[in-house]
Amino acid sequence: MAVIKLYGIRHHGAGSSRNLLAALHESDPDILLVECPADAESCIHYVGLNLVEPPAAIMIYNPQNLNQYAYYPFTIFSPEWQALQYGIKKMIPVRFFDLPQNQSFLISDQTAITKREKGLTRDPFGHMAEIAGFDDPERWWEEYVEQQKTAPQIFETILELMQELRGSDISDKKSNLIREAYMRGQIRKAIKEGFDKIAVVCGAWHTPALVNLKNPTSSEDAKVLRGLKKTTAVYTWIPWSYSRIARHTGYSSGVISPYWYEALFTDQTTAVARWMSRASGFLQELGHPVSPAQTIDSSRLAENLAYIRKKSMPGINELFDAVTTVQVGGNMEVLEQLKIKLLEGEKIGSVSDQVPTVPLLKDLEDQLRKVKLYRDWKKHGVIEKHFDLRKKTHLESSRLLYRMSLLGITWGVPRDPENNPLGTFHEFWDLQWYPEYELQIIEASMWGNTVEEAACQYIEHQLKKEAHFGQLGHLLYRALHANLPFLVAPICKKINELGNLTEDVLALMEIIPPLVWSLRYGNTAQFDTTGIKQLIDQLYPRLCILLPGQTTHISDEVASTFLASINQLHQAIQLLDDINFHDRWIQTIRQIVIIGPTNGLIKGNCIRLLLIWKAIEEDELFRLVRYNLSSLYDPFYPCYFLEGLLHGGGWLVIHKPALRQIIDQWLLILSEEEFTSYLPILRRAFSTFSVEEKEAIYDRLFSGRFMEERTITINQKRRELVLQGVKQLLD
Amino acid sequence: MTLQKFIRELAEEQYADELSALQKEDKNPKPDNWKLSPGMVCLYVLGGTTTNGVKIEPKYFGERRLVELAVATLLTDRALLLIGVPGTAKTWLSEHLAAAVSGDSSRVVQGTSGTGEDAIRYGWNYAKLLQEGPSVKALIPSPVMRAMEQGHLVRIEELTRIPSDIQDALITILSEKNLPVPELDIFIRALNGFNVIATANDRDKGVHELSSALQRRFNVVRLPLPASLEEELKIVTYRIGQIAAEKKLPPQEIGIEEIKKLITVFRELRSGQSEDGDLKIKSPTATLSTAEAISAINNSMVLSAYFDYQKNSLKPLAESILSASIKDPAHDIPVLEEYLDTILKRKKGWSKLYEACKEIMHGSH
Repeated sequence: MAVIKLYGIRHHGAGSSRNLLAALHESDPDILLVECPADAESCIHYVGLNLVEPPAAIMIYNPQNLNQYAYYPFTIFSPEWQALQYGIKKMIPVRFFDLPQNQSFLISDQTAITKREKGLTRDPFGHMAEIAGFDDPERWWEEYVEQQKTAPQIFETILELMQELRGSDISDKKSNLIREAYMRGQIRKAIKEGFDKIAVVCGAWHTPALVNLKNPTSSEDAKVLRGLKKTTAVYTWIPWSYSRIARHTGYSSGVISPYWYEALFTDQTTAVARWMSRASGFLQELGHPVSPAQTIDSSRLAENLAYIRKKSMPGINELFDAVTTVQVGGNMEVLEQLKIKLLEGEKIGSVSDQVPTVPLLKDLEDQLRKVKLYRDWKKHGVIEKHFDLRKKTHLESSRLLYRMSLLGITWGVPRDPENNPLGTFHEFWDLQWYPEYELQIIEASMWGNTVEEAACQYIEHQLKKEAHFGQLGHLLYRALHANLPFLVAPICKKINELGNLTEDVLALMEIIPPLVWSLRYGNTAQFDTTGIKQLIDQLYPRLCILLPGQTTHISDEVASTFLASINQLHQAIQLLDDINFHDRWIQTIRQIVIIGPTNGLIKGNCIRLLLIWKAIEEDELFRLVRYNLSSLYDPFYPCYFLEGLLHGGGWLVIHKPALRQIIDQWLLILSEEEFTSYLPILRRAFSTFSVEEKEAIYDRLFSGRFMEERTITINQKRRELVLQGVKQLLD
Repeated sequence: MTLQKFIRELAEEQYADELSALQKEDKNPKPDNWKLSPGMVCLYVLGGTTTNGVKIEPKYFGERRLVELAVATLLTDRALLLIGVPGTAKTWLSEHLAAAVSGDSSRVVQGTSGTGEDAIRYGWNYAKLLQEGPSVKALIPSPVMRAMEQGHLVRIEELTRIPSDIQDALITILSEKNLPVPELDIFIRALNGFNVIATANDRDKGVHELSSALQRRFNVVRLPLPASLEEELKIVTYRIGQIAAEKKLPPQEIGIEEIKKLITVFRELRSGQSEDGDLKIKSPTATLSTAEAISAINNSMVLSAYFDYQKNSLKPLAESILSASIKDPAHDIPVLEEYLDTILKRKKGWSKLYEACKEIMHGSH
């Protein structure tokens, strides 16, 4: 007579794993049945070949309908994974004995299947926890099952408990009853095949239904299973991450802290100490002084807390409480930075490329074929592409490349999209393939099965984390170009959240141009852009108020960053079809020009912008230039001022003789020593001039026109010297 | 002597019945010189019912885990620092912890900018000193030193108000658990059960930061403001009832709805967002802690009890709200105006309070 042992476990329960291993070693079974879809059994093969390193998930999908898919994640501390390892090591057969996925795709929606035992209509674990005085069922299970240093006999207790909970009729929702009928059938099959010691590893919830194999009888079970339809399915392994095992990321069978569970599984007796010293290490990396004595005290405090809370050993709550109190001195913000690291850990598994591919890669390849880019995929070297967005294939190509870039697969890089000579219908891309992209796609496959879905999910996830405020504008811009208007609302929300608080003028200057581009693009492409307009309305006035004040007292390095940002912003504002915005901008630049010790570079540049915008009279221009060149408080100020004023081209010097004159007068009063020390900066100021411009200036200087315009007479010798100096500059 | 004489009773006097009931039932192992086992201390502070059915009143309404954390800290040889904005029951909690653990909450050092070293270490009785020369008899022990000798808890109120060099006198006491008296070439050694509970608030100006050497010797438990409106309401009504009884105010009606409104206003202004989380609000400079909410309600109770106001007038309430939230008129008045007009005005059923506030503000201009 065959002996059947039922091991009711909790998915990803470290304690369950430990107990399971002990129990298996004791009972020495000759076959293992593991709760996983029977049709995915081929996946075990890859584990045996050592091609899979957890965390990894079995992925099952219907290639004809990518909406039908399921993931079965495994970690090093998952009982199912340990069962596989045990079976492989002992060279006994390991079978998956749950209802085949290609059938369960069709009996209920896929959420009900991936959600395993949690999808119950009532909440038995919650009920049990409440009786035991726990507010959280997870904590109760953790305390009574996972963390107990109990003997393997725990499984009998679990079985009894579950029998109580499910009652004598073991009623449940239909999909579970079908699965359990199938499982019973598989156990009967194993008995018939002559196995003596059968070990069954499944979620604790199912155990009561597997005790009695005579009632319901095999023919009754067959009746339940009769008529189930089958569809096609593909099975593969994909790398998984601890963050996707963590419960707060939305995975219903997840655990609170994969990282802590790993520590618990590796060695329970030293888990607290190891976790604590890692926590201290992370804090030190962040620059918080943490002494070894504090680490010890903190571990001790965690133990004391466990004692007061009547727990056999500290859990994740005690550990966090202890770190908060001892190492960071109640400073929650510090801990917040570390929370993800300490809860989830950052582990990502790997799957060898000998394991067949994932649907996302397939979808990507299909899409590339569709837009005729597939022949460039996996080619080495840079490939230039020109898209005319009025052509459908080109438009689709551009969208696909933007979507890929949202996923971090930067195969294609657009050349500065807002600065192209052929107008907005044209895009230029550089494509360059790297082998890492394949890996990135496999990693990205956890976010979805199609490029579109994955890009959306991934960005939504990223938005929940820390975000660099300035970059969000570009993200929005790319999302629109990727034709994912769905993302506009969440990105706008995030910008709004951060924008209300930021005082960082550079970030505000960075974010507004892409917002403006997005608005324009969105309007042409007929997306709903009210949210974007609102953001501009909200952020722009704030920027205008903050900007002038922040241009004072800045270093030369920061000044050149400001210069670039101001000019980019200037161009963006010009694109806006709103006279109020224009006026506001002119006012702001004017303020920069007027207020006190602004950096010379910025001041010169802003005067130039006013001139471009025709917002300044010639008289005033000349007065301002004279005034700024005579500045006394910083000897280099006039040079930087000139650099800013002449930024981007020499037309000003060519077409404004009076200005030439002012500059000339200034050069004349310089001592030789001053002139020499200014030369490098002056050279830089003139270096941006084109050859034609330089020639035009030569002409004006040496054809004598320059002399005619002069109103004061000067010494010929000195004139010669000046001309030489100017020549030197312009070379 | 009857207890009636004192304005306020010590925690261990007020709850003597509860403490003795708990002591009687306590079968769990107690650390040396503790009057109760750690679990019972938590029960005393958080309230509940003992196995014999004695009802224990809750003394602290906040999160259970914070109390557990505090008690667990007292079990280690690190000192406990309770930190938080005013009105988060720091002193209240420390007093009850001392009462439950040592049965004695009277060992207190009040931290001020004038607190000297002799309040933490020891002083001298100069008459004796001159008469007999340095001797143990001429020593005046500080509360800290006495607590060390008895194995009791000692409380240090407002630790960060004490100048830093005086604070640092605690370092030896906390790390070596002894107090050297170099003049006599002796040292006082702490008995088991000795520990320090300090409180500090991190909002006030003019505080002296703890040196990092001292900070390392403290476990810091941050007491938050009440997380939800209901929780805060519970605390406020409880305290109001107590105060009214102590002060023997004439009975009068201040409805739960009014209290709820005041707390809502305080919470919104304090957190900088509307209670539903939809709207951003500017915060005034005032702290607007729970303690201030209690005193504001108290204030309005006194106002309507002793002065002539129309029945059901919301003026006393409005008066209290405004006087508590306007601390720096230049900054706070516009903030309040904005709040009244954008948030309060829109709330259904709040028009009376809105009008009362507006009337007072414009009258005071």
